[in-house]
Amino acid sequence: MTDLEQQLQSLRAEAEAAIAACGDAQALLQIKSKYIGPQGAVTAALKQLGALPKEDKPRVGKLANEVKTALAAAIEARQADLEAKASTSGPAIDTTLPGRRHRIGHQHPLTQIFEQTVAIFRRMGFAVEDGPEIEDEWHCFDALNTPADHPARDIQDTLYVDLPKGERGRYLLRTHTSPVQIRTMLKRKPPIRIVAPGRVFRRDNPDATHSPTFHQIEGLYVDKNVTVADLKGTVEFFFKQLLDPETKVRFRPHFFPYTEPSFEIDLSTPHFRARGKEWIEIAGCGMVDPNVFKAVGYPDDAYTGWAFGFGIERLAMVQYGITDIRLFTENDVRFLEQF
Amino acid sequence: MKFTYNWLKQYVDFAWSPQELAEKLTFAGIEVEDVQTLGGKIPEQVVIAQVLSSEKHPNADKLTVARVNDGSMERQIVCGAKNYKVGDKVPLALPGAAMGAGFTIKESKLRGVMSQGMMCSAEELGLPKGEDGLLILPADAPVGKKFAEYVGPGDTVFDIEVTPNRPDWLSVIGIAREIAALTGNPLRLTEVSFTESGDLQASVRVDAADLCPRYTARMIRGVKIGPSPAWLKQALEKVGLRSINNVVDVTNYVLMECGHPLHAFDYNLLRGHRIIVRRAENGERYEAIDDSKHELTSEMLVIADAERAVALAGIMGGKNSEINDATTDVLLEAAYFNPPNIRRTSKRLGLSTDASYRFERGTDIEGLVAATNRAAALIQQLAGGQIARGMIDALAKPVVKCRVSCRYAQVNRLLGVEVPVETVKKIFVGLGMSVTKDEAADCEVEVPTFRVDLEREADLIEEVCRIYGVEKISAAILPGTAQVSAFDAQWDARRRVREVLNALGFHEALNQTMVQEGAAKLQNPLTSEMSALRESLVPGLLQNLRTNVSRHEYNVRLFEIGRVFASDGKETLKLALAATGRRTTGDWERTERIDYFDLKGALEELGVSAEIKEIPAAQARKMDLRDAVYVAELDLPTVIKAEKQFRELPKFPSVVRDMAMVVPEEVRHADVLAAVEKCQSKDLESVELFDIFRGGQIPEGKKSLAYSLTFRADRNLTDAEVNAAHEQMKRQLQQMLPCEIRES
Repeated sequence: MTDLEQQLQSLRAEAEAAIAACGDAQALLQIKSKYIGPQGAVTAALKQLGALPKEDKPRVGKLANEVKTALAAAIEARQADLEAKASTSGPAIDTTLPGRRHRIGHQHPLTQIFEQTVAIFRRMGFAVEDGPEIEDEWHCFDALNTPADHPARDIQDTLYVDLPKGERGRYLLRTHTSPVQIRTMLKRKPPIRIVAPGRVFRRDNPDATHSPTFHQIEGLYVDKNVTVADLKGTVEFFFKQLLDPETKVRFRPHFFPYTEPSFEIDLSTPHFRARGKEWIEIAGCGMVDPNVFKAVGYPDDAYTGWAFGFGIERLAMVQYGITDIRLFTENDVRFLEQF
Repeated sequence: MKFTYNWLKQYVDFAWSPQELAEKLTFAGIEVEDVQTLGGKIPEQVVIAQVLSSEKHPNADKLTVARVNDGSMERQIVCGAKNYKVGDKVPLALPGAAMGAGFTIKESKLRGVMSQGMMCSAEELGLPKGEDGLLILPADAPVGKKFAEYVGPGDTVFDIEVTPNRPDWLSVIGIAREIAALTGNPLRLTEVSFTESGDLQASVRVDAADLCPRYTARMIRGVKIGPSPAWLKQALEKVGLRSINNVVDVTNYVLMECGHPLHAFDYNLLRGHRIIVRRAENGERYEAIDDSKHELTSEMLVIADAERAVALAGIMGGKNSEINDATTDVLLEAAYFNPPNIRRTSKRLGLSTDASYRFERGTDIEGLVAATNRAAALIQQLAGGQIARGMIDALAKPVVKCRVSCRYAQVNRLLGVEVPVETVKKIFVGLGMSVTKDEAADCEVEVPTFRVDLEREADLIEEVCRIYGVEKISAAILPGTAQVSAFDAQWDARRRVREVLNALGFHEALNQTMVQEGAAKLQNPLTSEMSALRESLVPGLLQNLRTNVSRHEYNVRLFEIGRVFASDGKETLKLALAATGRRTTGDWERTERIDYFDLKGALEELGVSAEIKEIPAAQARKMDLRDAVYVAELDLPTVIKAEKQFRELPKFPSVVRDMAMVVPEEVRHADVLAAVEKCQSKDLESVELFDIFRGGQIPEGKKSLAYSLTFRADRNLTDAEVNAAHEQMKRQLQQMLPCEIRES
């Protein structure tokens, strides 16, 4: 064994002891530089290889490389140990703490029903239409086959706005979204497929089941040969999409001044049935009354059509089990966050 | 309107149970609001008893001790009711009577006094509620008879809601007619026969034929006013009417039976023995039977005698001519009044009655004759007297029945189902119409006068749909076609605004439109708190913050999209935001409170700007809001962010240099940006503020602003180039701004 071999063996032992004893990364770097850095002892030993006799060179060279590689590996392993130790020192993180949330806001539940309704009707080729909340008597009543002395005007107790009477009667807060039908039909010719979402008003004192401000959406389809069968098909498709594919839809003859025949729509869904309600009255609809077509100047007999509408609050209340309509306008965040 | 199952069965046969009947009516379009079972379950052990004596209970102020005769023996009964007197006949439940809900009558002591049964109220026997207390039976009730036999079999009361287009359903016969049409069974009307004697001496003059197209009068002389028999009382009580006397009860009974309101005058109280149908004088005073006093106008119709109004036409009779105990001669009125006029008067005076309810919807101008004959016969039967010969009939012009054509093709076109021609005609005939023209493609029918709603083809097609059954029409899926409207884009823009604000933690609120104060006012508000239309969305949102904070939800961010109104009624769609509390809610770390820049940042995300206000602390305190409150309101943005255009990604890396400057407080961020702009440093790509610092080594009245400057060019920039540009900017800025650049 040459001196150099002995020297390498002892350097290795010395360095390995130092690595094992080393407690911090900084000291480890110094050890690395002391032994295997460019100026290090093992590196220096390697440089002496040239002076060895030819027959010793391969053996000692191999040993020198082994030592260098072993030390480099030992240093790396020690470094990983130290880093792992550093990262776990200090208090352990409590992984059961709640996640840091950037809470998103929620759409108002009524808006959500509006949005879903509009989306479903758009799939059937309907456009969205809008109209003013302050209407005149003609658009709100007369054009919808509800003349001044019609008993049906009694059903809708109306709030009148303190403005001078216009060309088409007194101004009022619209009692339903149906004036949008009139405005749309005056604007264009059939085929018409629209939905009109909006806010409507009644002269009701607020309590758990009444709000003077509430929301409706209605659909109107007018073309050359629109039938009750089309109406049934659309309404069934809509409610199955909105609520549940298992929804049952039932039409009951009823009366509205602006449709003839008129129906009320009852729904039965697994959700309602689970709450012990077989049928819930949700919506009204019917075939557009000929007098409505007359009011918008369509020629006699040229078109048929249907109209369909429902109250958003009522649907939300039966669907979500809300028992007080006032929750919709209180805007308590604990309420809004549930939807 | 109420009617009973047994009453209905008098006029038409049907094999349905009360529940099935309710279902059938519902699908014919009659909304059944309530179905109530009456009687039918009265225990065997309830008998008719007579009160022999009554004394105060020795140990209880509110109880009495009665002795009664139950037909076989005398009993002692302790009773809590006060409405009876000695001699009254009452239903008495004997020991052993099961009164329902596990309650069986037995002999027992009540406050130390033995009670051998219970005297019953109507409710306790499942009968319609009359006056409070015991059910006092007519004087002719046979003592000892089983009460169940006395009242007859049980019945079911239906309470229905009739739509305004179908006044013909406001009577038992009207409902029976519908059932006849549904079942095909015949309608069975009561045969009315009576003998007339003596002349009808009254005279009738109609001065307002436009408001009263028909006025008829009959006279019954020598009647004896008294209580109604039990069957009549019960019939009225079951449908919620109060028994008054035999003559008035008959008019009410016929009203419920035939749907035609009648009025009975005391003939001897009619001055001049005349009836004049005229418009009221402006300011004419009128006292109705219910003691209410009214001042009339010339638009209202009255029935008058030679001197004064004796009835408010179609609404309510007058105090001055009502049937009373001394009445001997009755003038029976049956008329047809103009519906809108009755409706206006009823609304104006706030006086709505069973009569006005029917007249304003339209009564049967022809059917009133049958109604008045039926009433005359019943009055004679129950109150005696003689029916004078003939009927005065002031009919302005002959009744012309409406004729309507119906094209079979149109039935199918509207309903979307092939209804056979024979079926269509059968439906019409079943509903009381007669076919006056019968062609291959269409028919013409004559509409009976009680169907005031059938005027057009569409009305007839509705009848086909109703009777044929909408459930037989199969649902069709709409053929494809697409529509767009200008509003579609606005609807979608609104949704994008919501999405951005939701992502930023703002919840959507919706508030009432009606408020206490606003430029646009209501003419007929319900309350002063809701007398105007909102002119801003902010007050509603502040109220919402208050509600939340009062419920210990301190961190609230809300927005609302809604319309506000100007004094001329102009509507503007607004977006408003309001926020208070901490920036992150539901976070376990201490987070900062929301400030001005949170709202500003939200608006920047939307790509809009608006004035952001902090609610003054004093005002916030008044609303119990303890943290700072920020609000902003703006016209709803229609387009968010500019149109999208792709730009090539940079090919060369950027070089960043920081620059901190100490400036007086007055120097704003915007001033620094303007100065940087003026430097026109050619490779400068962006400037970003990353720190504001006050205090420490920074003198009072000054602040340190730290910016990071990003340089980039279409080649690799060298450090030397960037350093030179950076140094040049420092020099330029020091010339333009009162600033001191801090070396980093």
